[in-house]
Amino acid sequence: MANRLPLEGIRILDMGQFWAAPNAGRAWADAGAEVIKVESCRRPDPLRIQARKIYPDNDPGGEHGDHWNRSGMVNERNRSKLSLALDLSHPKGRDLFIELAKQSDAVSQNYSLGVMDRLGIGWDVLHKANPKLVMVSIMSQGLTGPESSYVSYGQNLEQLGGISYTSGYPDDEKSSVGFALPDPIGGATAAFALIAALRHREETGEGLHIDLSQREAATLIIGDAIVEYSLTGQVPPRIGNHEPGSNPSECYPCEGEDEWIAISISNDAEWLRLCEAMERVNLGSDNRFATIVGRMRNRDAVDELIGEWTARFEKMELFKLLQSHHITAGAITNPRELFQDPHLRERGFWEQVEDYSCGTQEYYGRPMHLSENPYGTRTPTPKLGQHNYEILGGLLSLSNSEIDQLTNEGVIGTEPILTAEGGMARRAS
Amino acid sequence: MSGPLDGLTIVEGGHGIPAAYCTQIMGVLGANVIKIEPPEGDETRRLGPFPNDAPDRESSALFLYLNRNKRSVTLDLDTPSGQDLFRSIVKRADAVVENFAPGYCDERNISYAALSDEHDSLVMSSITPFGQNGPYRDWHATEMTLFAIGGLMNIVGDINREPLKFGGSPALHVAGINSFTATMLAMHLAETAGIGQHVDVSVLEGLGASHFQDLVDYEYHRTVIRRGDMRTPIPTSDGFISFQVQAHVYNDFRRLILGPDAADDDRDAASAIQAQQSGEMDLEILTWSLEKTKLEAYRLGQEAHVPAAYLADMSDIMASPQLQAREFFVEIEHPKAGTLTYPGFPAKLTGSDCRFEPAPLLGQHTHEVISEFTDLSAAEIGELQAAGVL
Amino acid sequence: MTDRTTQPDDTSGLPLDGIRVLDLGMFWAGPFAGKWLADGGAQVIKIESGSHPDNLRILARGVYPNGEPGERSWNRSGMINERNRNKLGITIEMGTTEGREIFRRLVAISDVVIENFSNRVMKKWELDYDHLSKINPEIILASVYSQGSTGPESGYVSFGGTLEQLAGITYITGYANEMPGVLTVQLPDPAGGAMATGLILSALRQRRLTGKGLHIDLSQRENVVGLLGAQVLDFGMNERITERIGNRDPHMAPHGCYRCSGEDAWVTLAISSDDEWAALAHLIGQESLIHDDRFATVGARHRNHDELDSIISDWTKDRGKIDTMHQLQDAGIAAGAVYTAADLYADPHLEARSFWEATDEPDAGPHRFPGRPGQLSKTPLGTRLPTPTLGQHNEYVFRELLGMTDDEYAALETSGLITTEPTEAAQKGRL
Repeated sequence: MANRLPLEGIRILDMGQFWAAPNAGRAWADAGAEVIKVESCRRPDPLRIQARKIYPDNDPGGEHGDHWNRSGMVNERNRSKLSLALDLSHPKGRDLFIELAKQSDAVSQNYSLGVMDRLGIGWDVLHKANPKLVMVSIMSQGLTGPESSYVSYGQNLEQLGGISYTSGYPDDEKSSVGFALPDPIGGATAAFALIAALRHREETGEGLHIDLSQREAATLIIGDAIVEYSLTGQVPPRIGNHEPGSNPSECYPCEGEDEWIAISISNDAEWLRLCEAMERVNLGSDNRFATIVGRMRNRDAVDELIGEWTARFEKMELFKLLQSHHITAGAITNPRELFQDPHLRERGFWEQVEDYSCGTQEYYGRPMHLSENPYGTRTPTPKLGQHNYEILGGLLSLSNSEIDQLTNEGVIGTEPILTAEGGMARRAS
Repeated sequence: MSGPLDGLTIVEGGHGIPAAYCTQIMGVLGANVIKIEPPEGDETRRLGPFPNDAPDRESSALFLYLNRNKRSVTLDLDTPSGQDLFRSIVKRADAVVENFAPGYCDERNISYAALSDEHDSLVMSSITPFGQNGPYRDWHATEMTLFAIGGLMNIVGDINREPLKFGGSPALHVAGINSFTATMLAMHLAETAGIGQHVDVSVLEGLGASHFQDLVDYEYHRTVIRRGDMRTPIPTSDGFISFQVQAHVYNDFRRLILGPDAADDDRDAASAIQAQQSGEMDLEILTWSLEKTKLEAYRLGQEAHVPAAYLADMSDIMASPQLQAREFFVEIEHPKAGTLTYPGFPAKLTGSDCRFEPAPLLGQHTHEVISEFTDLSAAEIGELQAAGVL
Repeated sequence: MTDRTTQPDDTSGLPLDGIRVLDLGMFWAGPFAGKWLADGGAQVIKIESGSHPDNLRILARGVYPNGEPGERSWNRSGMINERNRNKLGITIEMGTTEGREIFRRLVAISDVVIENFSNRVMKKWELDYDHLSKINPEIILASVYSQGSTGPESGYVSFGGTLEQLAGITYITGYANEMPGVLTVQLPDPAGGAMATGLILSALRQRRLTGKGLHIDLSQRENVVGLLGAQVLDFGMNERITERIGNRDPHMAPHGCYRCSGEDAWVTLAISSDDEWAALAHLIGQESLIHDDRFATVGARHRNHDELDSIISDWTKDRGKIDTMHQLQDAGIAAGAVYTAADLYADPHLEARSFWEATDEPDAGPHRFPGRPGQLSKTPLGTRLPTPTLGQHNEYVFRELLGMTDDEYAALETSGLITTEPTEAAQKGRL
């Protein structure tokens, strides 16, 4: 079993769109599952056609004019999957989906509440069709509760989840982390939950439905603040870059414009090491700074001392110097610096992918490696409907002519059906 | 008033039995005892016995007993921040009782010299196996090795076999009592004259000063006393008793064993007792004792004015009519270990009561004590907790 | 306030300077408390009588200088002289109404009374706390009872050895799986004496706070049960009765006493961690045993303790106990030779710490006796006075402290209420 991947033999229908669910799908696919990304021409993954349009060299058209297959955000997070473009609002599309579900182990979806039911492929239907099926619904706020029908994106979940409140400068009223943290967290949580459910099914033979709330998953990130409130009744204040228990804990300027290094001193011994690194050993015996309380009460003086010193260094040089003194420090890096980072290079974090419509691109890989087998991108992100024939012919034994017929009826396809404004078409109901 | 030591604040530091037992006594008598523990806890938390033999740092019998009435503060004394807090707490306390290894406090700037700098009346008792100076200062020690060097083990056991330590750890507990006494002596001067000082308690020297006879035997006529042939106690129907027959009660003892009509022994008392000890009356004693319970035999002996005792095991002690009549045992409810029976306190003082509150959970009072004894804000205390100093 | 110039002792600067203690203690526990207070600078007046001198003056068990009782044997008993230093000594026939009247006059000018009689004696004399507090409401009476003032066994007599049995120490001391023995070091006496001292000092504090004296009702038996708290709790927690386990320890292994070369020579050692075990194995030339499955962990060492004992004994048996102790300690291992009194007196550490204190007894000559468990940095404690001979300070106490006139004192001397010699009956051991 040398090169057998952990999830080989598992088939998952991935109806995920945007980020959270597709991210989970990619984790399963990289780990060896057969993940079929189910979209439709009327309603492809919205990132194929909207949101921030990130294309190779900023050129949507490319050689073939299929800009929906060139969206960086789709291609980055749907690797190793197959694509089936199936119109689920068409009765035949719905029936075909149910047939596929009978031959699959799991379905993953992150539509708004009620969409799956309206399409006639809700949990009750699928569970009846395949009692062993596992379904994970990665919901904004879960399947139940007064706000379960509210719509959201990652960024407003940050606020609802409480992350935004705890982030930002202490004196500022407004704050936001600025990226959709709940999406990758929701995705990672779903990835784990599905594996656990599959194990349950193996032992009991029963399928089950996972009701996952991204808001709740995101709230876990600020667990400390939640516990503090529940135990003390006090709402913890925004503390900027301050890391509780570390004094100092701050971003300090480095040589150049907008270049920074974060330094965190978590105990008295580390403070002494910082004084050594600064070649100011006599500071170590300065009673104003020797203890945590001293450094808290003289924070401005501490920050000034350190800031004056850090400004004389190039940030990566300083980063290495501080780490050599075993001090927790990190240079603030931008994407270019990340791409060039020798450490990430050496660990093989970056993966070169020969995209179907974008040529050779570099994407991030996975934050872990398995000791016994390769684990990462197996195939590029599929083009819309790329595997229609393979899947319907292979799994459902439809003949080529039957599939041609479905194509003609618009049940399957390979091109989005867009409105005149470039938006997504809706089937008249 | 609740206890004679009301209003006295004692800071305890270190590990193990002597300092903890010393401050345990002071706590029962009303002192406010603050126990400073390292973040991982006093080592006695790891020693059993435990309820159902399941180790749990909150329910070690030894810890529960030694640390009644105390508040627990966790401090990492290996950091300047922890040391600074220790100094802050001591500033508002009356005494420090510690059994850190010699030199430990000097290295951390919490020695008597450092602590008394701004606190003239501070008493600091440092309890160590061998004292603060001398060639054995840094030696390691346990109950048994101290019992040996202290010259007591030599007397216990059978002369043909290895000497024995006493069961349990009584010598280390007695060191705690000695420390209590020495600390109170210094406290007397501190409270009446404002003069504090450093008390250097040596467990070994406490044992060296606790010999009944063999030291003076040697000093007066160079005789070295050792243990003899081991005397066995007298069996009864349910255990063992012994008599310590002295000359002036020897004939009382004869009548106890042989009956009220037994004539006085006309030998001189000393040789009669010697004959009795070498087995002269053994058969008669056995005939008498085997049909009685140990408690009956003990009472009959005492009623005849013969010093008698029974070998009490723990069940006998808990059931002792005398200890029960004195209400010696107390029940204490502890949040983790439940309600258990503890030894109470061996003395009753007119006009004050003993206090019996459960031992603290690890760090249970850190926040409370730091708020009370320092001028730190809640946020600053939170930072110290997050940094692992508390 | 008495004139210091006539005082037999200078206690100025000592913690208890100005505190006066009447010490009726006999044998050990009571006199021990008086000794600690006297060391601390209190004026401790040891009160005996011709008919009832401290029993240890008479029952000296042959402990006289060079084994010779000499002319005034009652002043030459080693045990009396070891534990009554720094005290003043007087005699009063407490069995007489007149004698007790003199005692009451002393109570009126004193702070503390110590007694370790049976609980009937002070009542019989009408000198129990109720009576004493009427004479002096600020008096502290410390009763170092065998078993306390109350309860069915409160009148029973005891010694250190019998209390060890009644309090549970004897039962748990002995060779594993064998019958118990009557083993004793009389630990209850020094433990009770020390506890009484601490309680008296606590009582002085209570008196400072309340202005009132008090009675300390101490049970020596309970004091010893208090040394076994973990064993008491274990009984309640696990219904377990602690049994004899020889020299072993529940937490450490090896932990034992091993024969050395020489007559009755032994060394103890205790291993409390795997690192110490490695150090021991290294020291005894058995490095291969460090990771041996039989000994690698404390659990394994417990299981194979007998085997371990014979390995260690093989190493110790040809070595001297003191050298072995030093070798083990140099390797970081807790070890102690089993000291005899001779070893203790010869020990360089105790010498370096000035533990031994020289006295010069009027009738017994110069000797060295043990110091004390604790030393004070600013008010060093020492031996200022040897143990008083019987009635040595009668004149000072009755004339200077009670202000008796020449005639009164002369009458007292002829009355037989005071003396410097035990009665004939007392000298024969009838006390």
